[in-house]
Amino acid sequence: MSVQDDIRQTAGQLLADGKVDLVIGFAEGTLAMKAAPCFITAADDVEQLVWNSFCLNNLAVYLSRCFTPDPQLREPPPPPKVAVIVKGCDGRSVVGLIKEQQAPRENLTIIAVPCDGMLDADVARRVLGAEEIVAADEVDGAVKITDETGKETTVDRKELLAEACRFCTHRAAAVYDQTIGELPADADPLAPDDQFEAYCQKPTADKWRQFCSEISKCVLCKACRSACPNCYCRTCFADQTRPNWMGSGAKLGDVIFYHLGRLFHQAGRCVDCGACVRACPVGVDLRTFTYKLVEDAEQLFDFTPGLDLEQAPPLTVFAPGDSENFITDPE
Amino acid sequence: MPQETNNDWTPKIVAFLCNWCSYAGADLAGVSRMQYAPNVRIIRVPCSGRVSPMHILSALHRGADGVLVSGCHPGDCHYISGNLVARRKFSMLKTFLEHVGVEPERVQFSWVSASEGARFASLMEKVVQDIIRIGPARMPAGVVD
Ligand code: SF4
Ligand code: SF4
Repeated sequence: MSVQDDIRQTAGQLLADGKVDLVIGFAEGTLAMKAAPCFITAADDVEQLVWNSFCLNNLAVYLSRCFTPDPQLREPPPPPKVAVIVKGCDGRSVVGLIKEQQAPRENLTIIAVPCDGMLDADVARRVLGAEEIVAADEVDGAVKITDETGKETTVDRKELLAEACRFCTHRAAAVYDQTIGELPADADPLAPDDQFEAYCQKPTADKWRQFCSEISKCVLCKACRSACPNCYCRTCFADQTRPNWMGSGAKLGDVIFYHLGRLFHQAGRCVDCGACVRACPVGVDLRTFTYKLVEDAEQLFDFTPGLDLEQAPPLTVFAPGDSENFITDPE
Repeated sequence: MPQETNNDWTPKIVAFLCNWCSYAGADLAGVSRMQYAPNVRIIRVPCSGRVSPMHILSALHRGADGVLVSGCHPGDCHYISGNLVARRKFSMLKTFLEHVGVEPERVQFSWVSASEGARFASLMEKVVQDIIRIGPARMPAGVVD
């Protein structure tokens, strides 16, 4: 049975048995190379579910919303039982949300599916130099892409991988209730991250220049925040008026503040899923900055988010021997 | 904060000092009449663990040239472990700020106990000299209300 059929059958069964109220998965999207997140509540609708190489979004982003009671309701209904289809990155985000008490473990059915890396329409446009992708069809690792002029090109799927997927090392969820198909083992990244390494080697002044020039592209639409499963605060500091952390964004300083604040809130939490990067309409390179937090959590505290339900988030605990080398000693 | 012309620029430094150790250390430096650079604006906080990275970022966003956070030495925290949790946050914040291109001297962390008035004075001298050396903040100020 194909993974897609298996997903449909599993989802249908869970809904028919009343084990879950909602299945979060992917349906056919309206654009080529983009599957759309979908919410299935009736066993009859499971035919909408698809599984292909275009299921990019991090579905964990919807979970905290499922468990946030409507403040208008005097008697909120009991929290729903939710099944969610997860790739490696989604699964790691789900673990983070459980630990941060945004989703009760007992109400979740985590369905882990294999992921070979997802393909990104923006990457395809860049590779082909095309304006628009109107159709894409994958057969055995070769993707036939039709662009807006009707020209067909066949490209190896490796060339179309989303940025985050090229560097992914945890391809399967570590915590799950059910699996579908054969889960892939942890793997080395497909390519070394030269761009990040090159950035890290730059002198501080150049880093600041590059950071500012990236951030100055930002139009403060906050789509990066909406796409990130970790950004679940009901009132973000960026929208708060008391205290008024930042202005509306008319000044570059405010945009920088938004990003420093949002980025640093990902410290020890970011799973490097790339959802924020792909959500950005103007192509701000956020990964160069989020990845630093991933790397530091690992190097300083030996912590990789989303792999273990028991391990405490690194910034909520301490160890007597934590690094002190950044402390200023006047003597 | 108004921007002065470059020749008469003096650094503005925000210092978050914990109530139980570093603030008392600053107080001791004062009552002992020790001399130190007058560029610091002290904000008293209950514990270095109270200082959110957002406070530090906000100080920079609002035009500070430098930020210092100081708490009790590890093991001496009035709340037992507030400074130890803070230490983790600060070590990540410091490397992260360096990663985006903020000079390492711009944001500094230290431990000063209530009996260390002299240490506080020399710490302030050091921080002020560091900031004078690297010059005014590169961070463009945002909207300040
Ligand atoms: S910050 Fe970006 S890469 Fe990190 S978890 Fe959020 S959406 Fe994913
Ligand atoms: S998605 Fe892009 S443009 Fe929108 S706020 Fe985030 S970085 Fe800025």
